[in-house]
Amino acid sequence: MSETTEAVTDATLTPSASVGGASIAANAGAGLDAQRGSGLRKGIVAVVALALLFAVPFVANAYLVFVISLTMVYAVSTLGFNLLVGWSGQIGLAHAALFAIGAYGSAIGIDAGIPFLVTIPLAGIAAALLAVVIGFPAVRLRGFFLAIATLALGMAIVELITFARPLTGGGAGMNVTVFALPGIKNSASTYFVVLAIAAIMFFLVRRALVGRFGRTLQAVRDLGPLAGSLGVSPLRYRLVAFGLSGFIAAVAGTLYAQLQTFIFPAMFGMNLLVPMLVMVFVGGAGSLWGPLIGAAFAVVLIEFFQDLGDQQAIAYGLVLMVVIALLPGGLTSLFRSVRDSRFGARLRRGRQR
Amino acid sequence: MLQTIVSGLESGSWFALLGLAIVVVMKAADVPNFAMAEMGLVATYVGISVAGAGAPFWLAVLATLLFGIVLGVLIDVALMRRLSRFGHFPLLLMTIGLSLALNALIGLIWGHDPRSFPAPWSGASVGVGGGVEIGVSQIVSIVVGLLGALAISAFFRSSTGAQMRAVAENRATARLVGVSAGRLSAIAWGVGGLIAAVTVMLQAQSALVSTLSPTSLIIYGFVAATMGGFTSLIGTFVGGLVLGVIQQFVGTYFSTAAQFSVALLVVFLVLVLRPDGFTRGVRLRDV
Repeated sequence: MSETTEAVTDATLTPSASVGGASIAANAGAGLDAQRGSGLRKGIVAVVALALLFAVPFVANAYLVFVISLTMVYAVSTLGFNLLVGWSGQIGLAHAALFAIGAYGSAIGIDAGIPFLVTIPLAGIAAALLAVVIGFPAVRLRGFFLAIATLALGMAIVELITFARPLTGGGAGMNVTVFALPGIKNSASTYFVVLAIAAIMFFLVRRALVGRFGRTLQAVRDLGPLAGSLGVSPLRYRLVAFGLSGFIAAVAGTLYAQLQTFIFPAMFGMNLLVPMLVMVFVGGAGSLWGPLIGAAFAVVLIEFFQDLGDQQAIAYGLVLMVVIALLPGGLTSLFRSVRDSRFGARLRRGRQR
Repeated sequence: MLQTIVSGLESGSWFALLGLAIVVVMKAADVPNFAMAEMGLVATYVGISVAGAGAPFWLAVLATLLFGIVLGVLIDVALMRRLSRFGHFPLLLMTIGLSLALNALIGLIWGHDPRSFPAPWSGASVGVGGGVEIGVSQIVSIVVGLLGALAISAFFRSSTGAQMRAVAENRATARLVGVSAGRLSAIAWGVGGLIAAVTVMLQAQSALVSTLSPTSLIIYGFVAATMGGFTSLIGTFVGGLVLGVIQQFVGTYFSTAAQFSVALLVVFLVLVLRPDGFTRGVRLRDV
């Protein structure tokens, strides 16, 4: 693992907002050289991973293809949520609603005759604008006040979707016309679309966050209004974080609609928001590849407990509580603490020799 | 009309009390407790079981209140306290996980059928002329709500309450001047659990409660707390009552389906029209 990601993730784990700033500034320069050195190796890993994922529909059964698609959709959504919560430090809880905007926007757009691939950016832009509108009253609030304000606005959006019956089918839900790549059967086609969009989103967000923009976001998060003295407008960056996360949420939402083929408002309430929070948390708020790990964890957890029936909810709640209690920094903090332990240090020394 | 207002004040008292419980925990432990309604429901179900076992009413009430306090303190000591140094996010998520687990636990132990906590005055009513009848349990709810609000504001004026506010403002500094932050957060969680238990118990005395009822109750509690800016006790209390009356009018003269949206609209209006009241005390951190 390169120095850059270490610096980034370590800094984000600093508990209180004001402490992390100095360490970021100190690490910013040091990490860049190391990152360039391992760039090739990382590229190879990414290509191999993509190739493996590309092969999935040819070897796996339909259920597995669905679960992996779902994981990727959630990973994209968490990418946006993580940008807001982890990188810009704002606990905005309208993410599930913006996800719903993407799902409904795309489904309605397709019904209106717009090609699916065009509805993706359209729904994204609509949600980004909406997210900025939500963020606008919210940016003057911090911490939990922000959380509750955005939660209420998010719930209001889902209520509005329920009320807009002619467009959305109301509480009963609506069918989604599934887009199929020519010559490929439906489930595999959806899988490839999800894979392609997910890869593009990860690439773009990585480009954006490893660099000036990501560091400025962190600076605004850690320094607050003090960032203004560095010539950075905190308000603008916080709103941009809202907008970007809204865009990404909606893109994930469009894919989700394709995957589920039928959507209804209750899908996008608290029972989606809670897993979304779990994904960000488990992946480690502020890490780059954490969203993928978090999404896989949550999907596996949900699928695994599905057979438990009545005990599903309690098992889910308990696992969540245990994970938070044991690993307050998320699952990725476990890897880090192993790596930073004496055992891990010895391993790394051995590799360098 | 009068009936609608009284019903509104009754449910408003529940919202106000739960909002106060949220604010108390928020003040001392700096976390919005999403599990507050579930905590009250567990305590109430314990009380219902005690009453169902043949115990007298007041013993069941006592059991409910004690269980609420113990549950609150337990949650603080076992779960929340060690998380506080990891920032807001794990704390918030822990209360959500707790609400899921408690709700599922209630379903597992007591089932999902709606229940009530019959009081000696349940079903009785007082005529106030003009053919209008007001339930005794409605009066009890409103009076207990008022007393609770008075008791909590008196509590915050005591030295323990002042220390609690100090801890919420700045934990480190408060500890430097000799305030035991741990003891105070345990007290706050205990008080919060107590109020939550009272709230749901009152609700169960005049209506039915089930594993479904905490979801709406907690949202209305948060709306009340929002109206008080999460700091003002009086704002929270009045906010809860106003919300209850609005809800009741919307439900009676418009539609019950719109009640939830109206509550969200209230939050939005408070945010837009009175953001200063809403952010009061928070802005200090913004330099």
